[in-house]
Amino acid sequence: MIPRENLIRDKGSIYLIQMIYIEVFAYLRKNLESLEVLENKLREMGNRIGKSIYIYYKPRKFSLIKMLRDVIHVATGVKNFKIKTVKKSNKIEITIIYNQCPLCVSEVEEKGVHYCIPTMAILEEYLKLAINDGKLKGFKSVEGKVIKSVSSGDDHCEYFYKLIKSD
Amino acid sequence: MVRVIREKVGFKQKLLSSIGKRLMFRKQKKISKLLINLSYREIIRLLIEVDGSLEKALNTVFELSSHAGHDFLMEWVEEGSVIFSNFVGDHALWIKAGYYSFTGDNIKYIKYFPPEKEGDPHRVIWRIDKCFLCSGMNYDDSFKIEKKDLEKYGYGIPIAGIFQTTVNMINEYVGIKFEGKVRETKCMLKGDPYGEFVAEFYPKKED
Repeated sequence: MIPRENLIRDKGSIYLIQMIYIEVFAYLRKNLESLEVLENKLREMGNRIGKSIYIYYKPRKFSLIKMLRDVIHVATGVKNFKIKTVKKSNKIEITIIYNQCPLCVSEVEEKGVHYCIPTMAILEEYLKLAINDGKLKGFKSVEGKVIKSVSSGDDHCEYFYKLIKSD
Repeated sequence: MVRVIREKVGFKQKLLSSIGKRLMFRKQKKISKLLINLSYREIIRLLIEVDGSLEKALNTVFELSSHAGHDFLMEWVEEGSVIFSNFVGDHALWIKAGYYSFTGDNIKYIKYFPPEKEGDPHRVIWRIDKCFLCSGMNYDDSFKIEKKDLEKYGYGIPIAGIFQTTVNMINEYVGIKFEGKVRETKCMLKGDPYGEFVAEFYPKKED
């Protein structure tokens, strides 16, 4: 069996996961008791993926933006994205824009819960672990949320992260 | 427009298939297989929470993937139609091309077996020696899988579901009067030396 680390630089069609996720999302929406439960489950899903990515692809760059670029590009394989930052006295706000995230498909128009919460939550967890691990110095916590999602009818996916600086 | 479908694929179609599958893979948007592997693990974990067991979750994945990606697969079928024929055994070539188009991996073993006796299906059997879905699951402390949980379905069951959809789309497109059923018969997580899938083709009953 191939070790998981070997999958990092190996690429597969984005459709392999989109085709299944679109059906699974609809199934979960139908079978979970509420949208709130679904949203929490999707966040946990992304956080667990982020945790595993951290195991197999430890941060190689130790500045915030370079680390984000590196992990998005190498470990997830996504190429078209932009990162914007706003520095404030006690925090840094980061916006990441994907032309298309790995989960969203424009054919879906999902209302009520953002379809690509897992994509956002992957980086949220990755940054959290990098902070706790001392790889990302000067911060104490991170929190992310989905601002825009192709599957909610937007023309791109946009995630917002707030990183609170250490005292 | 009337489509003329050849009886059987020849050298030219095999060559086109070999080139075409590479071009199709190249032009697609791609992500790391690590992300595919981990996303699939989490999908299974969520389905276990909803359905109650791994076996039920894998059954759900099979059902869902058997209906998945119709638009995308139809596009693939239309683009791949230059290598189609009326011969059911040529599914071996199309499955091989399709698998590469999605994954970038070559299937090294794939064979067509005609029916041995009346009533037997036509079969195409293929094996994969590196499975990006199973990868890492044998030492994943966050998700323990027992061999007994994989008695009915293997962990690579969505591949069976997606190919079941694809072979039937091709059958319909070219007018082959067979119904395809795809099963995963070997899985590396069960301890088998490779993953194995069988596509069985049964004559469609006339109305």
